[in-house]
Amino acid sequence: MQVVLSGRACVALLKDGGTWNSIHYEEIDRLVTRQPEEFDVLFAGVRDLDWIEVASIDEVRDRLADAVDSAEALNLVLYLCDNRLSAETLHAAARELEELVVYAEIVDS
Amino acid sequence: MDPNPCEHCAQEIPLDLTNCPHCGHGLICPNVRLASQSKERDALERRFNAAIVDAASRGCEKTVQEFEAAVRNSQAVLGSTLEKLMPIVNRDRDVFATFHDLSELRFLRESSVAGPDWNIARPSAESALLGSRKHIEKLHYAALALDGRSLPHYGELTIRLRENLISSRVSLFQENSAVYVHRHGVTFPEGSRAIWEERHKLCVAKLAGKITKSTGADEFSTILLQKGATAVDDQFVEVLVFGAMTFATFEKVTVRRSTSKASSKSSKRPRPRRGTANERALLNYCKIYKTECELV
Repeated sequence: MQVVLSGRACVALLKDGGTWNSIHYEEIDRLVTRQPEEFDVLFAGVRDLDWIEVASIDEVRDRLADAVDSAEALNLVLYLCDNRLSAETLHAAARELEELVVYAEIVDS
Repeated sequence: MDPNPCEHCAQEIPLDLTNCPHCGHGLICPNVRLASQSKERDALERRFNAAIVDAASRGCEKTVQEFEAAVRNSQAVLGSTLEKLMPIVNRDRDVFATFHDLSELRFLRESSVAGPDWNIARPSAESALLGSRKHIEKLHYAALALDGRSLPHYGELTIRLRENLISSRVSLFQENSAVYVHRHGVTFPEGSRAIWEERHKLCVAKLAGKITKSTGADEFSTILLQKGATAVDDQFVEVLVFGAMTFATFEKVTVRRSTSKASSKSSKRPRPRRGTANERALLNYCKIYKTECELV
């Protein structure tokens, strides 16, 4: 199964033979029927595309969760580098980031 | 397509250009030019007058006049998600995504099998509203509101637009134009759209029939904008903004906190704090750019 996924768009597009589906991070258990021409719409404006081969839907869900959490961890790091943000915001970003940096795969990415 | 004269050099130009091919002068946006055509404005005037006459016959002319006065001060609001807004928040030159830029809007809207195919209905409506397909990727959608509320189906944020930055490039349609195209086809009846300065006429023409002698002023906002069971069922007057919008275009951002994504149950990793930093960062950036912001 061929997959394109983006942590920024929070979506994975799957091609299995002639069948196209998408999985969305917020509803990760749901498989949505797609057409190949919807690619541009699904991934509009994002550059963090990852093209992978996987064996199962569960693996797609797993990789999508990694990609989204990694993208959001990067955002949080960028907040921490922005000295225009308030101490309260930086504190919130640090606490939120703490939830992610305990996972080695997020830190590695 | 009807030719129009350039306001600067008076040479005739097609409706779909945004700069005069003769003198290079910037032109009024195509959606505004179409809504400004005399046949549209005359038809709207007739609908408006008929609504006033009808209100008088029902004994509620005064209440309709009060409604008219209220909607003269109505504002353009749009719903959005934090994910759509945040990429532009800390970069004042980035522009807000349109329907054609953005996937989320389409997938939020695929709510029922029997509903519109937005990939067909939305571009068809845009072509009709602009006179051609040439600029359909440049339209943003908002709704008229009296109390600053937006429609919740489009995200946890309500964004109020700065009138002085949009009024010259806005046209209005009496309802959701894509839903109209889905139900009735791509020909819009004359008098169903308006320019910003005449939005009160469109509102009265469309909604005066819902006003009775006993209607209170506190009901006007719900008459103008009403949430439906799904986005397709929402009742509102559509505001079409032509061209780019940045964070500076936004006068106020309101965040409904209850829809935080922290509750996402299917996440691989438990993240109860997810989204909290985004909300706080938004507050900070709003302060930096002098945009009013409120968490509710």
